[in-house]
Amino acid sequence: MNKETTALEETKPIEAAVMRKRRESGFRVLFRNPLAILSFLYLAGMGLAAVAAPWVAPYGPNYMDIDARFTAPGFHHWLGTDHLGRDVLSRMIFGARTTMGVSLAVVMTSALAGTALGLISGFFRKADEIIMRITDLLMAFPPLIGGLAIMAFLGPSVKNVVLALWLVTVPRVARIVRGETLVLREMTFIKAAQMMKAGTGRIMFLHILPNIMSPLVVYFTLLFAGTIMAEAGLSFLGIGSPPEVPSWGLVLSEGRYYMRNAWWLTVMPGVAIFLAVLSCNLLGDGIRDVGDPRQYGKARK
Amino acid sequence: MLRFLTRRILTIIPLTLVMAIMMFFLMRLLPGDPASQLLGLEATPEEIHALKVEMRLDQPVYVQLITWLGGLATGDLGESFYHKMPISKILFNHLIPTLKLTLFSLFFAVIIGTCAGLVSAVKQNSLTDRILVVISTSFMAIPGMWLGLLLVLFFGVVLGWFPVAGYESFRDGGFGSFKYLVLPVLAMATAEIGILTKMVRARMLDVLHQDYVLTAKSKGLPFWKVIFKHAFKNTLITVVTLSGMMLAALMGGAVITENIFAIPGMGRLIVASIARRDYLVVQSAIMFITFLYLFLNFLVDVVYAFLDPRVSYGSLKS
Repeated sequence: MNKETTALEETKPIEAAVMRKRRESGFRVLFRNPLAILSFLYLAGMGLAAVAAPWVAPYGPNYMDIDARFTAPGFHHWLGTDHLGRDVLSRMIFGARTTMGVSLAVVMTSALAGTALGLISGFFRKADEIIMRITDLLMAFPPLIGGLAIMAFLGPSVKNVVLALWLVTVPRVARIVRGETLVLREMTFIKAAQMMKAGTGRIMFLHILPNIMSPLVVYFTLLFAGTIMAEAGLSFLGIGSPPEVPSWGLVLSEGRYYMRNAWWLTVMPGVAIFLAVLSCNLLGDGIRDVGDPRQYGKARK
Repeated sequence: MLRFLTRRILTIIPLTLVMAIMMFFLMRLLPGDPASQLLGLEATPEEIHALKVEMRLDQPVYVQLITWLGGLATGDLGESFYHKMPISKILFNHLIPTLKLTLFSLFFAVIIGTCAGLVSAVKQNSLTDRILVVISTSFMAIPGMWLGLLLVLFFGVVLGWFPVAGYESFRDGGFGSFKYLVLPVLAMATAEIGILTKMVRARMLDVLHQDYVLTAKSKGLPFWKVIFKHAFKNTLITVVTLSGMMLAALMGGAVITENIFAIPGMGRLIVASIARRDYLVVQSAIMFITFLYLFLNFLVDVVYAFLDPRVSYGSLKS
C-alpha cells in the first residue's frame, strides 16, 4: 500500500464527518428561514399540480364551453373563463406543466453540460481556448434576441423553446464554473492533492465540485426563475410554445386583447409567474444564507 | 491596461465576423423567401422569380454573403426588400425609440435603486430597511410584460392619464411626446430598481463592516462623511458595473415592452422583419444590437479596471 492511499483513507472519515456535520447544520439554517420553506413548499406544490394536471385540473386545457365565454371568477370557474370559454384555472395548471417543465429541463441540462464544460476548461488549456470562444459567440447575443433568432429559425414548439433557452444558458453556467474552478485550483488543498498525485478526474469531482456546489445551487435557483421569465416572454411574443400547448406566457398573451372586459385573463397568469419567480428568488436567498458562516449559531442568541 | 484593451478589442473583431456569417445562414435557412412573402399567394412563379432577380436573390449564396460582409465593413448595409429604403436609415429611425426607452429606464432605475439601497443599508434592520427589502425582492419577480399590461389597464384605461400605446418623436410632439414613454419606462425600470436596490444594499453592508470604515468612524468623522466619502465611493463600482450590464440587457429586453406599447423600436423591427423574411434588415438589426451589446460589455470591463486598480486582467490567465 503506497502513501497516497493511506493518506486518503486516513482523511476520509474525518472529511466525511465534517461534511455530515456541515450538511445537518446547513439544513437547520435553511429551516430557520420561514420564507425559504414557504417558497419551497409553494414550488413543490406547483410541481405536483403540474405533474398531476389531468387529475387536478377541473376541465381539459382546451375544452371550450362557448356558452360560458368570459365568465368572471366564481364557483364553477375559480379563475374565470377566456374568450373561447376555456377554464383559466385548468389552462394555468396545464400551463405550469409547460412553463415549469421547460424551465426544469433547461436548468438541469444546462447545469450538467455547463458544469462539465466549465470544469474541463478550468483544467485543460487547449480545450479552454475552444470552449471559451464558443461561449463568447453564444453570449454575444443579448439573451432575448438570441432566443428570438433561434426560435424564428426553429419554429414554435416546446422542444425548440428548451433548445433555444439551453443555448442561452449553457455558456453562462460554463463561464461561472470555469471562474470558480480557476480560483480553487490555486488553493493550497488542491495543490496538496496534486502533490499526492491525485488524478485530474479525482480532483475535479471530489475536490473542486463539492466546493463550488453551494454557489452553483444558488445560481441554479436564480436561473430557474430567469428561465420561467424567458419562457413566458417568448410565448408572449408568440414564438414560444404553440397555441395548443398552454403556458403561462401564452395565457397572458391571449388574454391581453380582452383586458378591458376580462381583467382576470391578464391578472391570473401574471400572478402565477410572479409567485413562481419570487419563490425561486427567496429559496435562492435561503440557500445562499446556508453557505454564509455568519448565519451559523444565530439561534443561540 | 493597454494590453488588456487591445486584447479585448481584438477578440471582438473575429467574434463579430463569425456572428455575421452565422446570422446570414440562419436567415437563409428559414422556410420561405421575401419575394413570395411580398407578393402573396396569388403570385405566379414567373413574377416571384422576376422579383428575386430584382432583389439579387438569384445570385449564388456565397456571392450574397460576400456582398453583405463587404457592405458591413464599408457601412453600406444595402436596401430593405420591404421598405425600399436604405437599411442604415431604417435602423437609425428604429434605434431612437429603443434608446430613449432603455436610457430613461436605466436612469430612473439607477437613481431610485441606488438611493433605496443606500438608505436600506444605512438603516439596516430598521422598519424602513425591511420594507425596502420586501419591495425590492418583489420588484425583481414582477414580469415586465405583465406589469406593462397592468399599467396600461390602470393608468391608461381606467384613469386615462397616459396614452395606452403608441409613440411620438420629440420633433413631432415636443415635451408632450414624453407622455408616451412614462408607462413603458415604468414597466422596464421596475425589475432593475429591485436588482439595484438589493445589490447596492448588499455591497454597502459589506463595505460598512470593513475596518477602514470603523477607523473613519472612531476618528470622529461626521456620519455623512463616512457614508458618502468612504463607504459609498466603494459601492459606486457595483453601480457602474451593474448599470452597464443592465443597459445591454435592456436593449435586448425592450422587444417585449415595444410589443406591448406598439413602440416602433429595434425589437419590433426585428420581429416584423423576420415575418416578412426581410433578410438584410434582420441580419443588420441583430448585428447592430449585438455589436452594441458587446461594446457595452467591453466598456464595463474598461471602466471596472479603471475604477478598481486591483483588477488586473493579465494575472488571471498566467
